[in-house]
Amino acid sequence: MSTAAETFAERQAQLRGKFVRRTQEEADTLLALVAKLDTPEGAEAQAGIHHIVHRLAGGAGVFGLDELTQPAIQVEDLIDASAVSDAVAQATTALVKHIRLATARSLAAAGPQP
Amino acid sequence: MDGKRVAVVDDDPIFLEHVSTILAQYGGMRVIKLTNGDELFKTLDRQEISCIVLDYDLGNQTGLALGQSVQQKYADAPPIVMLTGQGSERTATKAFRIGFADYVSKRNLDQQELIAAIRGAIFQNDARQARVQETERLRQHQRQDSLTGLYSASYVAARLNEVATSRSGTGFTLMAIRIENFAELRLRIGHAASERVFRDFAKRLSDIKLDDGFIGHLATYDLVCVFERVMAPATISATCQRLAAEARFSASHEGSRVEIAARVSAAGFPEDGNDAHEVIRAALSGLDEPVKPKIPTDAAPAGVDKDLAGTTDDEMPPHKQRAHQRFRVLKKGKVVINGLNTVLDCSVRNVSESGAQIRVDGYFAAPSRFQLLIVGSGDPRWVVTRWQVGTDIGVQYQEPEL
Repeated sequence: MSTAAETFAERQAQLRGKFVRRTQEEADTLLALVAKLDTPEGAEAQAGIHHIVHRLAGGAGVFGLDELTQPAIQVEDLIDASAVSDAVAQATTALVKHIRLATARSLAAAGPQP
Repeated sequence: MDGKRVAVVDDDPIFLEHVSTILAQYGGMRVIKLTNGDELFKTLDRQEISCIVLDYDLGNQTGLALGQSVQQKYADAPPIVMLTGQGSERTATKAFRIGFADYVSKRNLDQQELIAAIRGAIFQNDARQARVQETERLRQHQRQDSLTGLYSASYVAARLNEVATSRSGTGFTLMAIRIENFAELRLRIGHAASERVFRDFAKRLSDIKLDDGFIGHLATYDLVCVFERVMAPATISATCQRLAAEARFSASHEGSRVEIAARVSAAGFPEDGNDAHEVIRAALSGLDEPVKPKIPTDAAPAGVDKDLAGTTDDEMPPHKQRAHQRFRVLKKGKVVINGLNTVLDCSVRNVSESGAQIRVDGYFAAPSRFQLLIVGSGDPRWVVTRWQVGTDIGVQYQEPEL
């Protein structure tokens, strides 16, 4: 019979796995949004990027993806500072590379998913 | 924190689940998971929430805006703890300015810091609520009235209720006291001067030495003398006379003298009401009664004391006025004629040591002699009719026949 602490740890591991998989999927979303930055839908794309990186900056440290916190904050700060789209695109692309590495490492460490 | 419900609002379902699990596991809190403002308002309308944890970024609105809306809608809104990945000083300042209880960074969230912030917010809110309730309780039950320094109306009412509902209590007697014609006096000398007169009047009453009674405020300009026991009519009458005599004084106003006299009306529990409120009302209604009309000399029936006919107490010379002074005492009574062949209900309105004024429910010609039973005051006493005007009858006690 599992104790409350074990149940809690299992629940946290499940949430961590969910967060990692969602972040992995969001890497593709981020690249799609970057492609729209210099189009008429640029403002909307920038808002989309901001929403994802804001959530990532808050949750990465909590769910074991610490190395993503600073790159995510960097993108968020650039958007908040109304930086040119090139700078936002460059920082976001760099973040996507970090995401792919970090999530792959995390999923590999966690083992095969049920 | 058992039983404390905490509402967590976050549009990120993963983080919402994470925070909720932590608060339940390590904080012992009952967590209600919500993803937007609408859900929060519905929850607040339905149940008591001890604390709200709000994420800053809720997609279509900020936690700051939502928190502000909550505080505007609910007077006793629960404390709010802001949780956000946006660790800027400006956001924190805004949150505190709006009145949020605390602010915790979502980045590298410290579980203990979040739990401590929620506990602190609940503790401070509970303490604040307790202070508000205590202030209200003190205000309600403030013993002393700020205008007169006497016991306050709320204290008097609470005390009388206590006595009326006490199992061991035998009852109480109260005498409502008002300055005669105070409304006219206010019109004549103005609000400020009449307030001074009222304070002086209250001071004179508070200086009276009462063995086991106390003076308090009953209504805006009505005072009361309370005895926590049932008193005999003669004692009530004597006390009323004493209160009226000692409260009488001359006030000066812009060089002229204003004569202040008291009107006193007594009532008691349980004779005059089933609870304190009814007894107070009975006493006050005695104060509201018009002054007894003059009795025309030629209309005075045979046997009526000619000294009384054609006068009111106030018009008598001082020595006579004193001798015939009457006080309103509302008690239930029965007029017993020819043994028990005829019994009529009446109210005993004024009592003195020598007689009383009674009022019967419907007109009847009072016999020259009958028995009067004052409910709760022992056996019936023989009385002789001294005067009758309509349903009001003045009677004089007759010494028992040997």
